Amino acid sequence: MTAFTLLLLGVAVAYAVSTWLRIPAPPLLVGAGLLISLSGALPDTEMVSFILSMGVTVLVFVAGAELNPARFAQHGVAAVKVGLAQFVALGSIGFGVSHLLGFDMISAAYTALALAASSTFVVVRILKQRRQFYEPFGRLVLGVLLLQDVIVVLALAALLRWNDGQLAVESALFRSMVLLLIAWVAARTVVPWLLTRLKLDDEAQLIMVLAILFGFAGAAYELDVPVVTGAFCAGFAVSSFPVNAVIRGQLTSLSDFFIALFFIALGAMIVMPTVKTLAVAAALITCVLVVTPLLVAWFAERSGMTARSSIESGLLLAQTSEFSLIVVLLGAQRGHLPEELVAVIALVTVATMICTQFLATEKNVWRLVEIHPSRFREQIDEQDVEDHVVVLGAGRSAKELITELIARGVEVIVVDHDPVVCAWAEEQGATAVRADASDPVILQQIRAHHARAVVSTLKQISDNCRIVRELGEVPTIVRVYEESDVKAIEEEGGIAIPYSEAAAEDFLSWIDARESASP
Amino acid sequence: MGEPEFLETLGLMIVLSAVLLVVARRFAVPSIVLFILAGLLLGPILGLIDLTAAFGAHHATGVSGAIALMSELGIALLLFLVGLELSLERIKDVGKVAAIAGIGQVLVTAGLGFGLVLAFGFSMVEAAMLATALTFSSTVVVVKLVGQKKDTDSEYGRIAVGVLLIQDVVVIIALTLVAGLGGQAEASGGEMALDVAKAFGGMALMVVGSLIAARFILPKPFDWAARRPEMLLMWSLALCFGYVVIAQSLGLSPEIGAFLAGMSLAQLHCAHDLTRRLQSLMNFFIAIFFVTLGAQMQLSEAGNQVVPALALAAFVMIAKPVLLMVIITRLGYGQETAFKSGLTLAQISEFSFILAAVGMSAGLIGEDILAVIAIVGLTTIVISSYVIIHLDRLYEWVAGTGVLRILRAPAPSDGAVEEKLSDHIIVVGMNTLGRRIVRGLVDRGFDVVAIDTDPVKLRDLPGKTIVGNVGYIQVLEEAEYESAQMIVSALQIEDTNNLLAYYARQADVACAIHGFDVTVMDDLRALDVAYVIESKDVGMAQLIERVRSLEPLR
Repeated sequence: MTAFTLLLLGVAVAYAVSTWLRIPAPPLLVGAGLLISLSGALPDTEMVSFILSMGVTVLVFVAGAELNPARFAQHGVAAVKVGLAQFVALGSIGFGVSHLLGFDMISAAYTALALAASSTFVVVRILKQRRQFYEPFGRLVLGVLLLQDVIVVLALAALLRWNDGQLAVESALFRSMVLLLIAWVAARTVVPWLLTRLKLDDEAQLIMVLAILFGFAGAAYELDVPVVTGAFCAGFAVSSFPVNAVIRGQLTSLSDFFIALFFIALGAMIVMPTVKTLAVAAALITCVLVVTPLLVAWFAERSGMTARSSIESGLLLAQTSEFSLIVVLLGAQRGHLPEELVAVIALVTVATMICTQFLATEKNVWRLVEIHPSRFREQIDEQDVEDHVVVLGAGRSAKELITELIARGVEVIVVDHDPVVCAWAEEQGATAVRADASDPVILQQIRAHHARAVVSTLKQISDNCRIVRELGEVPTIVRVYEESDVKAIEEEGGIAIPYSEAAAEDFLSWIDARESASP
Repeated sequence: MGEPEFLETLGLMIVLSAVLLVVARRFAVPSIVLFILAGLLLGPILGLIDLTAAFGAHHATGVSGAIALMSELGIALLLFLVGLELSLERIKDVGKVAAIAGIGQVLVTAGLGFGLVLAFGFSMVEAAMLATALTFSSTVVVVKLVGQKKDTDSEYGRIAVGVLLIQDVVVIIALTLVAGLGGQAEASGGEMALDVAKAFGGMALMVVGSLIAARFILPKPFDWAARRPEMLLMWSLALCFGYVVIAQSLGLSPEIGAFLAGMSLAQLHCAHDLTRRLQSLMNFFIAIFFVTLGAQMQLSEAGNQVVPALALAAFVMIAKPVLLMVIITRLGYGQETAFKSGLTLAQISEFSFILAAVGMSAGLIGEDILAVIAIVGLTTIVISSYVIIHLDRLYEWVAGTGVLRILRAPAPSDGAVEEKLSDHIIVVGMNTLGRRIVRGLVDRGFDVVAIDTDPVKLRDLPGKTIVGNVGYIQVLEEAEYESAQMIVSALQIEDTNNLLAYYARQADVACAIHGFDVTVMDDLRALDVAYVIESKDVGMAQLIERVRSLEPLR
């Protein structure tokens, strides 16, 4: 109990520091674990390894449960392209670098696998915080993560069998796929029945969710594939709606608890890094941070994403995964790779996870968009219009506005990133510019300063304030949701249309109609 | 990972419990009975797992040690949650009755039990051990079941918890005495008295310390931590187990430490939300506790001891409640409170097993006594679980027969009957849209319950408000969603909106959901949402109006 309490105190302190300095918690937890074990206050390493094994299981389970295939069905092809490209490129780099540094083939293979995937845990968290789950690039990124996780799960099962010959490898692969298939079938049959039809109370439902987790873990054990494969499959089995939403409340605290303990126990288990470890880690960190954004952005753009979304996806995916830690831990346990490589990958994961929080920001995305060699810009330069109306970020809801303006004989320039919207606008007789409307350079290129009016439906209030400020005298109409934003826009001299008020009125009139219909 | 045995043991425990829960769901079996049954099946009956080393032994290692730790976590969390629900003011009221009833019950039950056991032909030492084991009621069983009924804060619930806490202190003394009596013959009476004095001193120190912490030290940091739910969760867990470790080092039970830790956070704003978040964690660990309890029963000698064991079980279930009823009515409580608190405490404790285990390792008793205690424990815990779950109906039935009049209890003072909400509208998500809707609905004369995770956003709203995340069904239950006329969500969170629509459909309540983006509409329509608030379209209509009225476009 004392050792356990000590770890919990470490967790509490790490969380406080993380909130204070606005750094994600996992790296700090690993650091706290390392400090606790260095201080020698932790007598019971056996318990730490139990916590680690329980933590890994829960972590992988929760990651799997976030990856509902229905969420990114529309972006499937793009996700496969981007995911595979990143996986192959970073895998090769990992393999090459560690092989060059004198590690043997199998160690290099583990490094490759550890480097190739991005962290579901970190990315999902950031997307949730920023409410970007439903945006196209958010869905793309989720698709990429699911694909990578599946590949890692399969490849890990194969890699652990590498020394036992080709047959063993193939059979491990086959058995992992069987388990995935079982999970897929269960997600459509037994699992919804157990968790929604039976109408169990909270307690029974929680036990049921855990029983599904342990059931798959047990099946994995029987099939002689790694337990994490089972945990991932269990997560996948509960990932579809409504099961995933119904169990979330039950699972949140439990996963917060075990995941925090996992990271601190991990810290307590790793050995102190040497200079060589640090150097190797630094090389790999650089690769991840430089190669991933470039590669992902390039492929995402080829798949029809806008510059901004592509760059944002790239920055978001530039870290190694919680799976990386598991891959090297399991490899080290089988004696396939040296302990120092575990420390290297732990360092890379910790560092890249921290970096993601600071790199994948709105500001950085813009900095990169500005140096982005976009082909669309050159066409736009030739716009030579006056007295036009600009619609920034038309979306689907602005169609009526555009048709009305055109019917009145007004020249309309539409800026939108959706090719379908652009094509439609051209058809109606507007000039369509396919670009990101929040790009600061755009305003000049479409001569917005000479427009009769500008309408913006952009989401970010910071973008809107900037646009209103820049356009000065031109009447600028901005869509806003929150009361505080209305003020911000009006202070800059813009015209705010409070959507929330309108929506509330709309709802209330529906209520009134409903009331009068049934007295 | 490298600990397949640990995961296997844990997995077997959980999977079998889940199977039993599904099989028995039609029969309203209390879950703890099923957990104990799962343990019995896995341990003594099928021999699939061996946890005999796990219970009560603080030095168990390996898998047993890890499982024992999880059981301890469960107990600590359970008591922490009770503490969170019962602030100092609530428990102060019942201090007197708990102390008198607790000590009176322990003394009388021990005396009568001693005589009864002697009559069955056991030796003096055995009789003393058995009698002591019979007197304690199970904190874990009672608190779990009463909490499950949401009765912790009722009058009988508070009295029961109070009595149990008093018993906890007595347990410590009993354990000290038993450990002293066995083993070292040279242990003098003086040393034992010193140990007992230490326990009391530790208790006083702990209570005063936690009161000071609760009043002056904890509020500010914990209010700060509350801005991030997972941080609040980890902080309170650290506090809980910190108190447990302190309590243990002062020679007190972990239960008391955890209870005091909970109580010191009870008056914070976030206590309620914290309770909800800890609930699932506690449910998991306490299930492990009960399965372990079942698995470590030693029933090899049980066959020969059935008769005295069942007689003693009957004694526990009759003598204890009657005694408590008499004492509690004499102290001025009504017959319902007396009846319910008496029956709630009609079982023996998991401590009784620990006491017996300590007694056996000290060479005071043999395996047969252990078996007696095991049978008494199983019988009384199982039966009292049923009794507690169906307590209200049982009371009505017994009161109807008029038997309770012999208690000559004073008439109960009328408690305020809590008003039930019905036909109200629940609005989730207090962004500008949500707040507008709440105001509009209140103006139209509807009963409105507003829910948000951020207490700041709920400030100065008319009507009832609840702080909480609707991802937890308990939050909706608190808002009594099943009797609402409508659930409205202004949230821009796809998952939560879909979940609300799903729950609304399950409960056959109309719902209106914010369709904040075209990509979320299809799912909402598929969930039979009565009205989708299409903020983008509605807003655009207004925007077009505004564009039309612009000077340069006229």
